[in-house]
Amino acid sequence: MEIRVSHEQGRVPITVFHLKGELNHQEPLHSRVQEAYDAGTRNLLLDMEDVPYISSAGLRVLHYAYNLFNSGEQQSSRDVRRGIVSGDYKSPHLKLLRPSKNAMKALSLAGYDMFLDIHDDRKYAVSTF
Amino acid sequence: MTANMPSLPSELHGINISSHTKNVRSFPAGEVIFDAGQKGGEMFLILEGEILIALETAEIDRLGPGDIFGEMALVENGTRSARAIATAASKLLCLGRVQFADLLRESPDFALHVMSVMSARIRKFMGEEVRRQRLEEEMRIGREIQLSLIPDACPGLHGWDFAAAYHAAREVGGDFYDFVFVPQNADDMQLVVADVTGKGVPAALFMASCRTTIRSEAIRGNGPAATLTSANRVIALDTHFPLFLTVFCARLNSHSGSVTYANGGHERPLLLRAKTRLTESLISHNPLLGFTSAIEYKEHAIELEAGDFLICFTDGVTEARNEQGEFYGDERLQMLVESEEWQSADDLLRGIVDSVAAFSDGCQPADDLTLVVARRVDSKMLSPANSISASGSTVRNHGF
Repeated sequence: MEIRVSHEQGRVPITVFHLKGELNHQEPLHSRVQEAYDAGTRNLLLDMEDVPYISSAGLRVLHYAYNLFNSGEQQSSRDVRRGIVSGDYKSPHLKLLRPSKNAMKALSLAGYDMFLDIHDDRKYAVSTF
Repeated sequence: MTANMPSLPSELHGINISSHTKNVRSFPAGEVIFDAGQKGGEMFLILEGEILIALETAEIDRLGPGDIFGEMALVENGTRSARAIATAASKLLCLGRVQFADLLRESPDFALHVMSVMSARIRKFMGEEVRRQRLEEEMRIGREIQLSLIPDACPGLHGWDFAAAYHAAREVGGDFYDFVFVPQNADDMQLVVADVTGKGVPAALFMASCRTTIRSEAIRGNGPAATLTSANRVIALDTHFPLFLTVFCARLNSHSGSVTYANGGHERPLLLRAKTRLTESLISHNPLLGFTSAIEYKEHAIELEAGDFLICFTDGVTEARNEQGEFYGDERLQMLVESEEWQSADDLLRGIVDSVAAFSDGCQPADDLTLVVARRVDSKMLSPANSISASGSTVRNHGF
């Protein structure tokens, strides 16, 4: 998998990972997510337009990123839990952009769209952070 | 490996380079020096550049100035075991069999160097072999754990006919299925089909632990949604396993075709209606187990008429690939299921398994394949032998 990195400035600074290739291993995305977080990134947009397939290993690394970027969450864990139960909570720090049909199927089946905002438009996605 | 050299060295590993200048050849970046399977008549000493040693798509080594390669096939008078490609413009000293033999006789330093390189490679291969054997052993243990927990046969539940298949991929996955009877209510049975998001022994252990958790919730008489909600809390709060689990859980009733179900991020089962021979996908939107503990799983209900089929499967069916890398896919499965008048759960199950195998055409499956088919039967469809409790078959294989 290839990962190209760019940056956007919305209300907050946002790092964009453009992913290319099947997301069927934890690496290199796991390391790159960790490196970005360690370097101070707190808002990550994963552009998945060129990801034709997400395996269970890919789902695991997305979960890892979700937990990592939500670890500094301002809302109390109780509010987050309440939001998840009511279906109102989406991660404010990790969002997905343009998943392919196949990738969307995997995300939707696994219920990831219940926790992660998924956008079609990059500008709009940036404005939601 | 030594650093890049601006000009050719005069002497290297006991070889007087200046007396072999006619044997120095240049290779542009990208040129294949030799390929696996070719007869090996030369060995090479890298004077400049970089050489990639690769086997199929796997990179074995990258060599630089001062390194030698190709000596194994020369010594054995055999064929090349890998491909060598120049990844940068390279200059190589190429030694044929006669020159190699002369150098071995004339230069003890050269002979020692060749021996030390071969010795290091043997050590490396031995280490890799030990790791490979450990991995094989780990896979065997994982597979044993997994197989020991898969039912030996399908259960008898009045009014239902079952068939199940489990085909293990080479690398152990974490699929399982289970049939759970509630002691307090002999009319109901819970069917569980699940897939752990991982491979190897960790996935097998996680699968065993999750199976027990789900079974213990179901056996208390909880419905599918309550079973998944409680099991998810236990699994999500156990941080020892950074793994997840997709689960389809359904409660089947022996007196009616009533089925209640909950789905935790699992492949959506298909319902094949006998009257129309059309399928419906059992839509449900809940996350997989282990993602977060704060989930209340939703329960849904359907009614099966006599002759209707419920087809539960893992992604080993829809994500089976052929040689071109294409997926078997949901549409192909749906078309197959609707294409024939299936006579029994076993008939439909074998139809799907055969179709996936024909599509894959010998390609190694990347994931386990699990399939459970339940068919609603009425008393007229039951033979005298199974009129009290229809039974079914289980197909367990260790691979295609």
